[in-house]
Amino acid sequence: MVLSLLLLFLILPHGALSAPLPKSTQEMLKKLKLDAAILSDIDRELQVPREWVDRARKEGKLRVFSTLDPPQAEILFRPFKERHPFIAMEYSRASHEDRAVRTLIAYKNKRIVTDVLTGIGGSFFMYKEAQALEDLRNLPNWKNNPEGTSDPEGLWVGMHMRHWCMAYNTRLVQKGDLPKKWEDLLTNSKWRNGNLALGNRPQLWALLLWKAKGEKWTKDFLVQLFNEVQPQLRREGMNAMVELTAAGEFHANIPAAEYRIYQKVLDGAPVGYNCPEPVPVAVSEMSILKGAPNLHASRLFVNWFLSKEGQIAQYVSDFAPPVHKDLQRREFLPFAEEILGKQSVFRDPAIELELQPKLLEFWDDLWLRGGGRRRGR
Amino acid sequence: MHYQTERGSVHAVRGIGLEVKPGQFYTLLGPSGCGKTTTLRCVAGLERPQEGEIRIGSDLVFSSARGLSIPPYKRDIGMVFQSYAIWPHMTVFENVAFPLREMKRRLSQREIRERVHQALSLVQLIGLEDRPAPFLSGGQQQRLALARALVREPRVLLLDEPLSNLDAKLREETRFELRDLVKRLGITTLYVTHDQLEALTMSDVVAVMDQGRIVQEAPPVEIYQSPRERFVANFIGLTNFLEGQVKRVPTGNGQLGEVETPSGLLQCILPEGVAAGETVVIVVRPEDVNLLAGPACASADSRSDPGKNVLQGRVEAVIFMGDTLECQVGVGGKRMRVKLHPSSTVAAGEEIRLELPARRCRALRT
Amino acid sequence: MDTAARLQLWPHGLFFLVLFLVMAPLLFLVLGSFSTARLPGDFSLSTMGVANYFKVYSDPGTYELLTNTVIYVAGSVALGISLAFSLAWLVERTNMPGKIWVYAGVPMTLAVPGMLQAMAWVLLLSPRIGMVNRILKDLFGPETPPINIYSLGGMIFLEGLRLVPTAFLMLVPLLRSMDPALEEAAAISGARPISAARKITFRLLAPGLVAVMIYQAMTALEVFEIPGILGLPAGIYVFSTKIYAILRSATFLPVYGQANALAMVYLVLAVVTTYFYSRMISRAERYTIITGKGYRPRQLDLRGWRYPALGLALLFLFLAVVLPFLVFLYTSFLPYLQAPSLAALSGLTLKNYRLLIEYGEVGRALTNTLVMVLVTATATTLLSFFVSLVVVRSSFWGRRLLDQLAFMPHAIPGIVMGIAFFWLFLKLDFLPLYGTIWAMSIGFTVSFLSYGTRSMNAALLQIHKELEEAAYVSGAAPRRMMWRIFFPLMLPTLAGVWIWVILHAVRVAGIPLMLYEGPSNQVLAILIWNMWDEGYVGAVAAIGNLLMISLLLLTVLVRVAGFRRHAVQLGGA
Repeated sequence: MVLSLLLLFLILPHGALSAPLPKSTQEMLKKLKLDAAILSDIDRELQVPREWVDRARKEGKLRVFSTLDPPQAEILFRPFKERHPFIAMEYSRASHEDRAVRTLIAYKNKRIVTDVLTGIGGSFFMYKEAQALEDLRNLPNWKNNPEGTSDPEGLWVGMHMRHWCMAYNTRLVQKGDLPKKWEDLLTNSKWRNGNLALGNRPQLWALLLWKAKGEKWTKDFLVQLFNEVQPQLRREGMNAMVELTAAGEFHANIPAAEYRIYQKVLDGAPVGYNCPEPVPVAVSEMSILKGAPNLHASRLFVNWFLSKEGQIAQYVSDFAPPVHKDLQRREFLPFAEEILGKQSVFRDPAIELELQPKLLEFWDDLWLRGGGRRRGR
Repeated sequence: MHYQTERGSVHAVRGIGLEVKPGQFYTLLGPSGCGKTTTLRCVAGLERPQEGEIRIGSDLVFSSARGLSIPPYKRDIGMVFQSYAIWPHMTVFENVAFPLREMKRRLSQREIRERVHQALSLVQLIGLEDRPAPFLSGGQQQRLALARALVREPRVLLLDEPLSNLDAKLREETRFELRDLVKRLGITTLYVTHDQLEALTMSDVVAVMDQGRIVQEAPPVEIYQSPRERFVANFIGLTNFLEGQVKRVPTGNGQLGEVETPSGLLQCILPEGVAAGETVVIVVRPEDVNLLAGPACASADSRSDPGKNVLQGRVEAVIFMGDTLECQVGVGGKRMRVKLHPSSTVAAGEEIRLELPARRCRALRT
Repeated sequence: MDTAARLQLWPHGLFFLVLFLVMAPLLFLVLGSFSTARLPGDFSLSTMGVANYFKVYSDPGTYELLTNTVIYVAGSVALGISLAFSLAWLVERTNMPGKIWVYAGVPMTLAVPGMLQAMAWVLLLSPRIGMVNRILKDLFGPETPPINIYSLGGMIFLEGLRLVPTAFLMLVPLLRSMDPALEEAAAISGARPISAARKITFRLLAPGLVAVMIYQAMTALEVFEIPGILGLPAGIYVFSTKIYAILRSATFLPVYGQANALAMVYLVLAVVTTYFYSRMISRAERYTIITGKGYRPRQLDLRGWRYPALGLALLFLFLAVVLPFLVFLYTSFLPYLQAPSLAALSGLTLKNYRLLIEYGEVGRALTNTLVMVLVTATATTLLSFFVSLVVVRSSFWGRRLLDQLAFMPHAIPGIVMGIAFFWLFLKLDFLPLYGTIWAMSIGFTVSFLSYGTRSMNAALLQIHKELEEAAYVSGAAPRRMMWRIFFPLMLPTLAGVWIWVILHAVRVAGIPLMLYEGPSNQVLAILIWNMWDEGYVGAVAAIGNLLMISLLLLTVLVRVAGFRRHAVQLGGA
């Protein structure tokens, strides 16, 4: 009793120097069993020009498009809402096509359907062409992101790390069959007969193989993959693919991100996560539409998101590994044992512009010719 | 009601003029396609003539010259359709009450009920007020349609073949009832039918129509007995036709003329202004023909006696018709029809003589 | 005088309105097919070219597409019409017991959205994880070939089932209105029942039957949901889904113009089928006049086959409605997808339903859907009514053309209509329609106009002109006549169309997918589609369940109300 009081004395002055953390933040830390010290400099991190806050007050509902489930978004937004109760938020989840392409079409039609947008991926160059994005380099927390995890011209910031590997059904696949290297997929007959499924997102993994292994290697690999292994070519989204793997529709699917698999494992689904070398690593992008009516609220939000509190909140909501350079820790990385210690290859913005179009053309051809038809059982 | 119209070349009615006196029962009679229904509908305002004028009473309801055409709902008429046109979604009461509710002057509920009751009692449909209209029999529906047409006490009642959907017995009863009712109420009535029996039994005036024009307009007796044209004679009742040429024109009024026919020389009434040598057709009704028993007395003179036309013939068929006996007699290559009392004992194959009373023979221009 | 002039004005106005509504989007469709710009908004004269056509029609895959489509349409129409005809015949011309269940139940299958039906059957017959297949594997060993729903056969089966209710509704009056005297004459002339059926009954029915077949073939051609759910994963494309796929291609660089080029096939088909359909209809003699008389067609005595016949009919209902419902019911309580087993049953949870309440977007989608559907239903009913009035009752010079214009959209798949309107609204940016639910309403109204006008035409033809004229001569001005005579007599049809549109607008995904922009105009169909796409099977099952229940309830209510009214209306008939 006395000891705890003493402890309190010690902690209290420390805590009295900075404002108390929002309740939701405290709960988050408790859940993760983290020390509050991790957020000791959060106030400094969240300092923004007074003008932003004032103007945000006058703006309308802040709209965010992303891929989180709404309940997850709720969890994510809670600390931000506590800090800025005057900002009303509207969240929508949409598939990539709807999110990225439609938004751009609407933008060109002078309709701004959202303020904050995430995951525009392959459509980024169209946005750039249309000059549809705000420059985010004026955000104080811009500097939190490591080199290469944001657009050099400030048009997007990385939100979180993503490791795009393979999800597999633990009941159907034995540990021994899991590929250690990508080329193992070609040699192990267990992946034939449609047991493997590919999603239509080559830029998340094949692009990185191209960077790591070169054009020829990658092209040969893909050709063999499509023609000999003949995986199921699925048009479903990434989450659906994992669900199907869990259900046994196929034994494994590529690519799959660690955070999703982790969620499913917690749900009790019979899925596992495996990373062949080299491990493809990418970031997802977050942007603000140029001319967004709720610009300042957006800035406040994105800035907060890039802070430690925002990044931890993100991890709590959907287990996405933070991109913040001071949060690259094991406890924020699902399946850390699969990822750490292996050769990885990172998707930097440069290769996107340079290599991606070539890859996509090659891939499209293979994909459409593959027709998705399953040959043989 | 005055009516004068003209229609274009392919249309139903060409140049008609007729006048119906107040309280008169005027029938338009003719085969299908003769334009009688079209005429009726023009009076109702459901169709527009191209040219002409229509008046109801002293009101001009249509005039092509003035570009005036009063719509049907503003004309003071009642109409019974051939299909009755009973509204299936309403009760008997509602069907009859409908015209009352459409009147300019608002009637009280009580007044409506009274008048509907009156109308229904006229047609003997009391007690069925709340029955949904489709639940009525054919005859009842027809009466309902009549009640509806009469409930407003219109100046003119229009009827479009209202009895054609009824069976024979009902038709007969209804004929009398209808005429009786209309006469009691004193409503001017324009009636359209293709059934000559209806026309003859019900009307004050019959206008026989053919191909869009009125062929003859006269009271029933005259229409029947003095048809002015072959068409009328043929359409109304049964007729015997004997073609021939005028031999002698009558001198003086009321005198008979003579016509040479293949069956013999016949005396008959000739039309006005006819000249000798003209081709005419003699019309004589079967019931006017008398049967004389036995062949002629052997005078080589087959000439008829003055005032009597006697023809020689042979019975070819005898048909029992219930109330009459129709006898078909071959005369000089033609078949003549004769109506006899059913008790007659004439048999097929008999040689007999027919007497055609001259005054009952009419010659018509062809 | 003035009424005459006024009366001429509004048919003209109506004509031009419909002309615009149908032709303008099609115009943009055609123009867009020449656009080589990537996004529709970038369309301009300088980017026109025939590159799209070249790409699309030189691709051998396109011809395979054609074959698939033909097989799919022919198969599903054959299946659907034979089922519908058998059911209609059993109900109208035999003494099968329990008719009321079939008569009421078959149209109720309309309440099950095609999307959900397909999804439910996927859960049953997916080759690896389908429940039925798993049971088969358990029973007969793991090497048993599964029944694969992701196949042309699967598509044909399901689409065939789906075509039944509408075909049934069209065939019942056909069978009912046949004058029995015609058949009796055949019987007396010495023809045995089979012979009479073949030579007389069938021949008399033929024009009407062919018309229904053409109509349903057009439906099968344009439907998107079934081939979308069943064909896309297996890469079996038909025209409607190929167009969708082009827009969703791998590289996130959809070339919108190509989709248009492919869609041109539909345009040609639309014109051709419309032409044949109207010829069929004008040849078909199938309307009785309401004069209070009615026909009682002869009933065939099935004897020992009575209950088996009922069984077959009920089997259809089971496959079409009950089974999908049960599948969804079960799946909605699962935390993740698994076959029925004791383990699964012990893990049942309410999680999915709770998520629905928590998902803000569900509430929004519901509101959007409700508003959109009500507006669409009302607009379609009114527009169809007036169009039919002009077509059937007026002497307007353009009325046949108007009729054909109104019918054309039926041949154009929702996806294509969606694209066409998408371009239209994008270009007509002075109208604040793009991205709103009103855009969807308009798209739907034009689409559904064909059904609305078919129904209204038929109903109007049944109302003998003399019923109107009797009102005129009884002193009612045209407006009063409308209100007191026309409207009450048309009420069942008006209500029928209204309900039909509601049922369809809720479940159809083609147009909404194209016009969907964000939460502001997200409707239930899109929500379900997206959730399925992203694998939230549990949530889909939960929503699907609730949706099916509401629609079924709605259908039941309507049937009950309709029955009573119907009985009174036609009296002893």
